[in-house]
Amino acid sequence: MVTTVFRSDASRMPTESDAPFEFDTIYRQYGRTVARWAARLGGPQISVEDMVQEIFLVVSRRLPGFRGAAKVSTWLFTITDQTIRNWRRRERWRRMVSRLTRHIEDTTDAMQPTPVEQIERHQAAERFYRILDEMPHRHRSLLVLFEIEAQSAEEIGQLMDLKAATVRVRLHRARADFLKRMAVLEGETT
Amino acid sequence: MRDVGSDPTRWRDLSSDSLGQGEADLDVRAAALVRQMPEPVLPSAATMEVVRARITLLRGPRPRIRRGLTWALAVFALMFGVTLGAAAQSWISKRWAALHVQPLPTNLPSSPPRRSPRAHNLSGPEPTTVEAPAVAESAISPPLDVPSTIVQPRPAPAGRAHAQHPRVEVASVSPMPFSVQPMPHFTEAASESHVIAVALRKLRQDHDARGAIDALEQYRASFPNGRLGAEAGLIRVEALLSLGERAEALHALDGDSAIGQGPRSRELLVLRGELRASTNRCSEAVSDLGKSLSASPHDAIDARALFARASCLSRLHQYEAARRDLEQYQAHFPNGANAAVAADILQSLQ
Repeated sequence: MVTTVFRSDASRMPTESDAPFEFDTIYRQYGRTVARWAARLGGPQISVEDMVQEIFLVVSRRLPGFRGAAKVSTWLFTITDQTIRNWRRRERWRRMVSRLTRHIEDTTDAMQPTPVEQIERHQAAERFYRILDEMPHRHRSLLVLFEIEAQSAEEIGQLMDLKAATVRVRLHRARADFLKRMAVLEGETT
Repeated sequence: MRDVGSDPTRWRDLSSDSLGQGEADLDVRAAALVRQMPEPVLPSAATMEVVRARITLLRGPRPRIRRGLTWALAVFALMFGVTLGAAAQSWISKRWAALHVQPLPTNLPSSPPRRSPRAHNLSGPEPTTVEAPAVAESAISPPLDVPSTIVQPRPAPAGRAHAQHPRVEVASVSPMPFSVQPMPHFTEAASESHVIAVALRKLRQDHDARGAIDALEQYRASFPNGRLGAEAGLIRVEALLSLGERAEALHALDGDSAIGQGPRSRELLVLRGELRASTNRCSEAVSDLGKSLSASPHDAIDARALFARASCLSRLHQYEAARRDLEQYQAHFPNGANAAVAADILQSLQ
């Protein structure tokens, strides 16, 4: 279960008294959680392995300056979110430069023999992230954590260092934004 | 009023009862979309360990080269911008000056011509002599494109101190007092040889046969009746052969009506003969190879021609003629590249 993964990770989170923080400890405790965040926030286009490496490289560089003012999970999520945002920016630029890449990827995927259900799921993910990609980044992260990762507003608030009420208000806007964009997209495709 | 104290119902948990009338459709579709979302494929524990090992290797202080590179790029961009600006300013000022040069009257008397201060810089240094050259600027734009016409010099009156300087009148503007018209034949020949040189360099030095062929196509388009046409044809064939396009090379040689002429005719003939032989056109090949042979075989071309002709003749069942060629080959080229093969064939023919 998605929630279980997060909650079980949260139960193993080191407390602030655990400082100084060691890279290996953090990697072992949060590696898979970060991988999951990266996979969810990045969508089907992302290479989770590469992203985890990129995120933890940033972690290793920033770790000497981390004094535990925020929770480790919050700190890690901030880095993950920022890394994904940077990746999306690069990806947008790359696609703008070479639209062919997307075409080749699509063609390659379509050529692979895939079960129908898998194709439908893949298409659903494609559609979902296509709508998400149009949205502001903060709405996007919120929606992914709430709707896909089934995190509560409290948990999201802890990760993003926000009050639960603020999360709920933003979530309401994000959902409305998503539905509006989905209607537009479906109008375009039909 | 929306309740901000509790979380909204997730789309995936929505039931038709909890939906309002207007929002139902969109929400249901969003719910369906979210429910269909696949679980992410996460790296295995082993992969995570590999990633950790990679990070350990990559860890350390952030490389400073990136910052240095950024600075270098910024400085380069700045310098480029400044240079570009200066060039643009220079060009604009020149154009501006050219547009504002006052035309001078034509056929001036023997006094030195007056120029506007702006035109002074454009027209080069002032002539040291008074009479020559007298430049009349009747039309201004564009100064560099208008060809100058040199009027026949008038006979100088006797007794004048500077009679050795004929007065020259230029009917239209030229930035130079005299312009040298290039000899058309010389220019064309130079251009031809330049294109050929480019093709040769690409083929022999850069090993870029495709580039050489492109250059030769350019040559053919620019000089359809060029003096170096035969040379161009030969280089093209060489390039095609180096690309392995033997059929195309043979096609080029087949269409060459002047193959038997010129200093490299033997080489071309033996090449065509070999190519024809390789495509079972043995009768035509025998003819080409025969023409390429010297009266007394002595060089590499003769060696190739003899061996290829023997091969063709044997395919045409003319074994006696083939044997004679091979014997001749053995006699003249006992250490030739095909000497051993020739010996074998001769043995089998006996």
